[in-house]
Amino acid sequence: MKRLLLLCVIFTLSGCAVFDAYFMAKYDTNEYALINDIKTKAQVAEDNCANNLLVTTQVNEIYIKSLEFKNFVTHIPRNEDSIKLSDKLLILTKDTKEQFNKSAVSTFYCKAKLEQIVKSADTMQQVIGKKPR
Amino acid sequence: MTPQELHELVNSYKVAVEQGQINKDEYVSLIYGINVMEGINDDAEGLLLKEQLNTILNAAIDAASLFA
Repeated sequence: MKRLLLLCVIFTLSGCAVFDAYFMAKYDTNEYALINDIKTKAQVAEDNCANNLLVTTQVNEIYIKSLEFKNFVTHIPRNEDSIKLSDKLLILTKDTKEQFNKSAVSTFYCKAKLEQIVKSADTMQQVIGKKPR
Repeated sequence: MTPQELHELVNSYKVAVEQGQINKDEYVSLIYGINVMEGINDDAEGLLLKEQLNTILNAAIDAASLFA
């Protein structure tokens, strides 16, 4: 019954949506590895919030990795969804990098901001991992 | 992340700024981050829907090929 309903939805969708879904970019190991790396680095940095110098260095690395992720996904055909996600993650990491480099941040801010990056990267990792093989 | 979880995060930031645990600049940055996170959630939902549609289409094509 559930499948039948879903099939009905498909036939009521526009041809473009079906075309986009059928020809969407496949699962890419490098894409998955990059987002996993960003999440892991943010998790590691969370533990170093007491050391402002160390955590700032790690936040800078997270930003560079996000830029690398964005650059990697950009020219893969039919990969618009990953491009949109990478753009937003870059905005988040860039804002974080700027705050950390401006002045010493509070422990609460450090943990909360890195948690935002971890959660966002985790959300992205889940959907990137489900791309068709 | 659910809207409920996002709402809880916003509240915790509000409490932190009221208690002086974070300054105004940091509060603004955290709220901005929440907005970006919402955008990421929306885009991720869109991608997930597309993936499900892809699975169904492939299953339909496989089923049709059995009768061909």
